[in-house]
Amino acid sequence: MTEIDAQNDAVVEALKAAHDRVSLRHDAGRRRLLDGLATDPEPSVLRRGLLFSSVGATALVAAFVLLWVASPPSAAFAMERVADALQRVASFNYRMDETYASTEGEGRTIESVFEGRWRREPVCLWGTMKLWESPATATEHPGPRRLIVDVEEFHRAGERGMIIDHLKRHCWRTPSIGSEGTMRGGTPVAIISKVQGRRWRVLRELGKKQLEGREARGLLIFLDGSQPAVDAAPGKRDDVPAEGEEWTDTGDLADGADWANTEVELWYDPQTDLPIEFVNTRTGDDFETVTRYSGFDWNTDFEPESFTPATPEAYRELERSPFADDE
Amino acid sequence: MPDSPSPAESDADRVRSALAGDREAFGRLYDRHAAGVRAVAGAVSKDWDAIEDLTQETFVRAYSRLASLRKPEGFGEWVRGVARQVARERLRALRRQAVTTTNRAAVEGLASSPESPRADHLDETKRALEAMRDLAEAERLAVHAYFFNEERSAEAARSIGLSRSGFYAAFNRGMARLRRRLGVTPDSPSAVRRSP
Repeated sequence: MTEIDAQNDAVVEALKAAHDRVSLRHDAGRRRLLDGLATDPEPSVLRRGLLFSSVGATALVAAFVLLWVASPPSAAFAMERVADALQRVASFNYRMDETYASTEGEGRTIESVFEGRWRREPVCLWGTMKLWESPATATEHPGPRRLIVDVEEFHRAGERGMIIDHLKRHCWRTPSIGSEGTMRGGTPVAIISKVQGRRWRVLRELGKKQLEGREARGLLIFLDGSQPAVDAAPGKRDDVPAEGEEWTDTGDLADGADWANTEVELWYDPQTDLPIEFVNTRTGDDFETVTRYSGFDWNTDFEPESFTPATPEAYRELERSPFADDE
Repeated sequence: MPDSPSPAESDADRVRSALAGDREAFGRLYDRHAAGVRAVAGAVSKDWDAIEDLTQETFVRAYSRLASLRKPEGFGEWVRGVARQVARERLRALRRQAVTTTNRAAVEGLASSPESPRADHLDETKRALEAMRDLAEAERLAVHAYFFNEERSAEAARSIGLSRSGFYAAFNRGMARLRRRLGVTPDSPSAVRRSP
């Protein structure tokens, strides 16, 4: 049999030192692991235990069950379950509320509401987006809230999409969306994809609260946490026109930020392990932007045909996007 | 460091005990298989700094899916499969982020840690870990397994599910490549032949 080449040279010494440093933390890792398990008995574990329990131990078992139901799962397990649950999601509808509050100059607030639905196969997205501006919010006499954007979008894999501007009563076609990964801005798709792909780490538990008539449990997570934080998501709305100026960017749902290196509050339903809300807050010297995804209905049966656009009656179809030169 | 498991207790026993709610039994599975999982995590992800996190994540995921393990006696192979999956997910995430520099930074961080041993070792360690990234995955796996098992070759082979001869071949190839890469000759005066 071949002998192992175990020379005691500089390479061996270097590798031994490095690996020993990791191995020395074995006990700490073991404690961390078992502490995590301690607060979260795997349901099947307990259920198996129940099967083997004697009838006389019913009261004891019931107490265990109550304890299990009442005990919050550890953060790592909770996220694992949420990731697993999201793996089984084939479609959903949602709502996004975003508030951008600037104190720069006279101040202004931009409120955005997106409502949409998404389907995995074929990849489809439909959504509406409305933006309202409230000017001069830092003054004694704030200006009136006005609707500055009202658009509707249709996207379906393999087909050209469409953006409909309901204020100007015209529409135009967009390139076909390539994959779910390209649908980011205005949708929770990028966040959901990162959770599904386990590209997160849990920073801390946020406790529980009532949301949408259910008990929700919260986790603060960091998405793609292996790089220093960068300006990954739009925080400052420089794309919003000043009063009197024309809207120059539709904020196409198929484009936008990918939510990398971002802290997100995840509120989930412990009964289903599916998210109820995602919340992200970004602040700067003179602004704060809060983005909230909510109103989820998971695995709703949408017909793919409902994502195929048609020019609304009495609307003008433009030959190209009025904003993008290269489209 | 890992406790010595009871000779009478098999992995199947530990899995069954863990499934019955005995967390300490899962701890003994961790003791027995963490070195192999670390080796897989390091070999597949090539991310030295992530090995501990990947190992934790692997065992957390394994615990949550333990009830789905059909052959409890095959826990070792199964958990290494979980580790491979976890490491690949990390690798894909890293590729997406193009963080090759992060690994270098991790090595820099290791080298600059106050816990680090002698200063003259630091550069060697950094160079050796970087050079390992260029090995074939099987070679990297064998080298990690050997050093994560305190240079016990039989344990190393077992921890990654290889025969001894298969393990020796991959390990020797990897070490030879590392030495060439790092300019360390086998016949250098400091080299001492040791029995396995």
